[in-house]
Amino acid sequence: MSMRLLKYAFIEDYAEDNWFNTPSDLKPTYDVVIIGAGGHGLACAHYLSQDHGITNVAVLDSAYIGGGNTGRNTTIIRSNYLTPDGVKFYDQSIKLFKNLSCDLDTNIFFSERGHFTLAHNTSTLRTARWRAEVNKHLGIKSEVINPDEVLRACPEIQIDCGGSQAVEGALYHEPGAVARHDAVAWGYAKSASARGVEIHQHTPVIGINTDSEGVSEVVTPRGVIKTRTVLSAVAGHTPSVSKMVGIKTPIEIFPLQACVTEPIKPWLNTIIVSGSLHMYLSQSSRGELVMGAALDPMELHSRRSTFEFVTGLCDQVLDLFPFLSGVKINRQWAGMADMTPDFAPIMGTTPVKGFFLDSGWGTWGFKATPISGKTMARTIAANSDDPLIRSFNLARFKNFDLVGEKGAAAIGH
Amino acid sequence: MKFFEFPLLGLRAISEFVPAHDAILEPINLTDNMSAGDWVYERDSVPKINTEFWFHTTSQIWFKVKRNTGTNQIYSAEVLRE
Amino acid sequence: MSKRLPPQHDEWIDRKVKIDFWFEGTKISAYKGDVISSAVIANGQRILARSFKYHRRRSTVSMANHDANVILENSMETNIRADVTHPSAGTHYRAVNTFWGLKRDLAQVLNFFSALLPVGFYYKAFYRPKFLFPLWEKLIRSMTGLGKVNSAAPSWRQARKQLFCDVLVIGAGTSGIAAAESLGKTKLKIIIADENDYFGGTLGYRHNNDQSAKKFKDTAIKNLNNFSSVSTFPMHYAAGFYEGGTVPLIGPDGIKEVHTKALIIATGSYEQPAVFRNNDAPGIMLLSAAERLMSRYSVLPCESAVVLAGNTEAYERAINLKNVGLCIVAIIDLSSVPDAHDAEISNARNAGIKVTKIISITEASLHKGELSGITVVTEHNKIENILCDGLLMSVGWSPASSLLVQAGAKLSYLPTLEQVIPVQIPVGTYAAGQVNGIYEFKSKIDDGIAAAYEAAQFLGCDLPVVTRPERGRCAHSHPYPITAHPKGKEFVDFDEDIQLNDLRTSWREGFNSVELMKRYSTIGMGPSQGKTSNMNGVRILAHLNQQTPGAIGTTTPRPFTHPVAIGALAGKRFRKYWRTPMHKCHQKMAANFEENGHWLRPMFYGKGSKQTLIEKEYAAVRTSVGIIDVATLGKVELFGPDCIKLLEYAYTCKFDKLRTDMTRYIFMVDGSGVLIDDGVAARFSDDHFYITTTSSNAHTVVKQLRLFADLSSLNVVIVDRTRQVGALNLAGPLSRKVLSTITDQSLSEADFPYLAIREVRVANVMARVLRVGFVGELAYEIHAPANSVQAIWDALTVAGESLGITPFGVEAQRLLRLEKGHIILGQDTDGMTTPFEVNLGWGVDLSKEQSIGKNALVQLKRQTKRLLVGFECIKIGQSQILECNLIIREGSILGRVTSVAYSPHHKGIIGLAMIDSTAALPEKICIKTSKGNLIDARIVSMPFYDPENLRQSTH
Repeated sequence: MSMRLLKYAFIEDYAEDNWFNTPSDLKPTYDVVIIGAGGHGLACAHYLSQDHGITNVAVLDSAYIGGGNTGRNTTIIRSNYLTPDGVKFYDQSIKLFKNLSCDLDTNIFFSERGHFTLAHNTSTLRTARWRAEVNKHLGIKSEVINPDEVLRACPEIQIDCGGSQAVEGALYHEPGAVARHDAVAWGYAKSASARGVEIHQHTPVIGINTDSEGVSEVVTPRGVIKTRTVLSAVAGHTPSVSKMVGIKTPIEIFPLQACVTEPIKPWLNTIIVSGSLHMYLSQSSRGELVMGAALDPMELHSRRSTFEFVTGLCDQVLDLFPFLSGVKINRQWAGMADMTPDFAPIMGTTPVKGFFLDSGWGTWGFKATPISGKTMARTIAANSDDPLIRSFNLARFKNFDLVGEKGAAAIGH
Repeated sequence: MKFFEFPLLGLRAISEFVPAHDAILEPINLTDNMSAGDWVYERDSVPKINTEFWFHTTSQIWFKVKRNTGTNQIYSAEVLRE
Repeated sequence: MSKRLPPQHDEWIDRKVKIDFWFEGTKISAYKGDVISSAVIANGQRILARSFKYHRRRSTVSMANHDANVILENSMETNIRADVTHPSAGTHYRAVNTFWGLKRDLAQVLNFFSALLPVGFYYKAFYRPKFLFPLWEKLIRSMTGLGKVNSAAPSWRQARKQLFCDVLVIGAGTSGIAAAESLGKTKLKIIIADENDYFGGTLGYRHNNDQSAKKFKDTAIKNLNNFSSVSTFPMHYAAGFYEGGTVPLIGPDGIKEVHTKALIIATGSYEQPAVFRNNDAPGIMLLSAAERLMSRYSVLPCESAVVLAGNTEAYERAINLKNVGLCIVAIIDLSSVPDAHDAEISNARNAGIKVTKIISITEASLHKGELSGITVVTEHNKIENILCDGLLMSVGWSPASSLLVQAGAKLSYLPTLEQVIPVQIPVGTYAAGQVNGIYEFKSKIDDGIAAAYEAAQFLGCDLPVVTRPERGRCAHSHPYPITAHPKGKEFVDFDEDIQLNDLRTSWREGFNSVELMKRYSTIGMGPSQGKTSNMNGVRILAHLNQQTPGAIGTTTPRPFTHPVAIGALAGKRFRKYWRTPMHKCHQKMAANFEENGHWLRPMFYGKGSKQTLIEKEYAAVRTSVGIIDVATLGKVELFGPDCIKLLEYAYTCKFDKLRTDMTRYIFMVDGSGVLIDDGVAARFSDDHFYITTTSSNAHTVVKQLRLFADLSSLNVVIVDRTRQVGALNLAGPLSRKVLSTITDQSLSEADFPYLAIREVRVANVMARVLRVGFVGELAYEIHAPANSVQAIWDALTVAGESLGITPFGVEAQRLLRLEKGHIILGQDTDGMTTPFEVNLGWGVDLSKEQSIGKNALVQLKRQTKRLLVGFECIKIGQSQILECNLIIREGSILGRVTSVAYSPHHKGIIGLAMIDSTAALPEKICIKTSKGNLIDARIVSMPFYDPENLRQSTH
């Protein structure tokens, strides 16, 4: 049991200090301005301050800490990607996740559950094997399993899926995990704040100025900040921000919806994903089933929910878990995803000196939170792309040098 | 469910339509400062009024639609073929 | 001891029908119309549940599903809201989330450790040492969650209905029914819905003594049921507002998705609790809960009640309840404004009720787990204890405005009313009644009618403008009905067991905005989604931040208003099934089917060893003749002078060399140069072509062709004939012999060369025959109308019987084509493969002025980095190599196997592999099996079989 909790018990009116360093005024200048106080932006701030001694940092957000996609995702963490670059990148992230609670002194509830990507036909089974082989070769525990093994791990699954698109096998990924998304953002914020990083909520960026040397100023309604280094970490809004410095990206914004059921006693101890049925689900530590489906079909800069999403998802969920008919959905919400043509992020330096991108996170952003923060911090400190993210640079599209993740495009969660 | 009054079809749910993602004709010549990669991949995904191409799966008709990508309001729809 | 009152007029129970059920092992007698809670309370039991975190004893608070205190389960169903659910006869219900039953819940020990479990405690502990976390997590997970789910519970779905109307009225209380009734005589189609079993809202349980109110209710409801243009939906709640004016109504028999042009929201407001020590004790409830219990179910909520009055209406309501049998010990007045209730107080005293003005209510005392008394600080600063077993709170309201906000309205806090009101409501949506801050009975009627007329005018009706009634100057909500206590247990959120100190701690730890406080403390995140906690939370945060509640704002209300079952949302199960014209025939031949999109395709025929059966089919094609159903191919007919223009834009090749009555292989790329489809094109004339596509992409190719044709305004007609036309492929050295017996067309090499197409009668059916070579043998692909192709198959089967004609399936076809090195899109290609990577550069003509993907292809041609190669592996017999096994070079991944099989012709393993070609191609490659063994293979040129292509093109 924790000493911290005992303090609560015995010291009246005990509360810990404010987790966040949120001064009421902006300074006229900072060494680094990070746009976006989500998991990625705050992780970068943490590693800048911890690994590189760069603490004169301001993290700006138009709303509240973690209010963007960090607070809206379905918290799945995995590294069973298709390309060696992708696998190595996400594997590093998982390694960081494993120690993150201790590193941040905040329990992020990193819970290894195992991750099953169900295959309902030979084609997806083949792709599953492709991923498994690449994973295994790089030392990641992934394997193609047959329907019996799926049933053993999750006896509640209806393998024949109601009579069409039966489960033919699955890509089983042992390191698959979930974590408490808010806690990740708060934990990084707390740690960065302790080292002097400033967080300014409700401070939208309305312009970024450049001069002959590159980035020069960040304009907000609360004042203009002079800086030579700006990181854009604003999933869902990247094109609007990059446009401020005249950069065009391939990113297209699509809503991504999710929903939760009422809390029920734990029964699902793994993460189930099905590309063919366009759905994925897991059970949170609160007991709620957290579920999602495919992206909305059209570009839209809005977080509105649709009835089509939740009815379509329930239709598919009952094919896999027919007994869930009486379980009720409590709430649905949405985030806005930065979609890229090759299902890989866009990170690192850009043609504008001093302007860095941490973007293009589509439906694969939360799981990369720690490693993106770490590599962006290294990239910013050295002013050159960290080797781990070189293949994610914006310039790759110009040269048709796309990341090979597109080879296995599926629902990807 | 959103509905809109379409020419030839009348009032339809917009979920009956599939948007096209590459619906501009291949350019014969690229402009000087635009590479093939730029042409294929560059986007401008900010809230604005877009002209889009929607396919009505049941009637197999293509429509040209003006939609606000911030509010999702549809301003007009015309049959694509003149 | 029964708490059932004598029959109340307009009670909802039918005393003639008895229903017995079980609650926590006790038999309960109920009447039809009872809900589970009312019956159990009538039976003398008030402790109905245990709270989520501390497992404190709980009872009903709202009787309206505005709280989620009483959640039950039975053997098949879970998370049942007892306050609004009718019991099923004979069912055994129990409270959720208890350990060894409601009475003896062992987890109540957590209540004593509550000091160790403050807000966010789980963020602060359990992660060191790391190895213990999984154990902690398991324990925490077992303590969380409410009801159990039975994985053997029956699966059910309810059909969803689509309804359309002009005006949808949500809420059939005073304002709602006034609104709907006022439009009943217009031609507008009206739907009015209410979540309760009966219409009327507060008219049914608060104004039962008011004759004018009763008359209004009865008349209006009668009219609504009689108007032909009005549809009434009691027992239906609105789940949310979705763009375009869609409001799903959730009812016991399924969801009605209502698509409306105008929306009137008359949803009323949620009565709010007061916050003080032990305010969660069974017996403490909202005054409206008592009203509902007594008037709907004729159940006494308690023996001796104290009414906590924070607003004027508390008094009339208290007197009403006294008149129907409730014993009221006292009314304690918590007004923050002196003299605010003086008139009401004197009325109450005249009615024989004691009234005490108080500064605060500090705590409740319990006896055997239920309320036994309260402690107050009177206006004279004296501490007074009042014995009672019921505390009925009337301290304020929070408007049920989630639908309004979802529809686009904003909420503005009105200090005079001490509540939010909707502002900036988008056109087409209207608020009326208590949700709009209107409280007085007559004003509610006027507000409803005004809203209705505004809606009607919006829809083009000619109706007079009616001014909205004034909101009134007195607050119906106490601005701060919250009293802190040094010993804590003042509950703000009952769902999540959140105490006042939890919110204070959240605030001090930096979670000081309404969103951060919600996420950190979890206030409002429980099953009732903050209906009876969010407003107090806002008031507390405002107090801590020294701001107004308006400045604090609110969290985003999201669907659903109340939880909705997955089975109701799922709707009926519709799945598309496509069958080829010869499906029954395949079944008769014991085909082993596999799903291919919506199609079912025979993989191989017969029972027994799969390998043996496939090799038998393969052998037939190579040595005599085989027949395969290829009806799933996409088939498109093109007419018009711009056919070639369209084809040359959509496909990579030029068509000038394609002569009349000949075919050629074609393939398509997307704008980025990636292969997306292939097929065959046949030319009948300059303005008449016939093309095939892959089975899975037929609809996409047609869609794209139409797009290109429309974008360029091409003079071309595109007819998708995929499902009109069946097709089969007759392949093997004896195919000509067999076919010649059932057609008059000359099949000689001169009259019917390789790649030709002929329109001829086959077995007396007008068909198109194409001489194509996918499997590497002399072959004829026969396309005929779907209702006639079976006749051709049958005729061929008879004609070829003596020659050993054998049906073959997709598996054999895969092996046959592999021996020819032919690619299968989606297997040998992936989401990034360009034509150059798969030896199809010959089919890419970059001299065309304009074709899809040309600009990309020009660049990609120069930077081809991968290549599909053929390999053979003579040494191993049975294949240990699987598709997508990796090719390794010096420990790095060089590529992968895309197709692999044992070739009977080659007498060894052959396959295709996509490998990195940036360095020089090696002679040997190293394949890593799934078990990790490395196997050497040799790169060989293709095809593996009949390299000169003699068998398919001559003979």
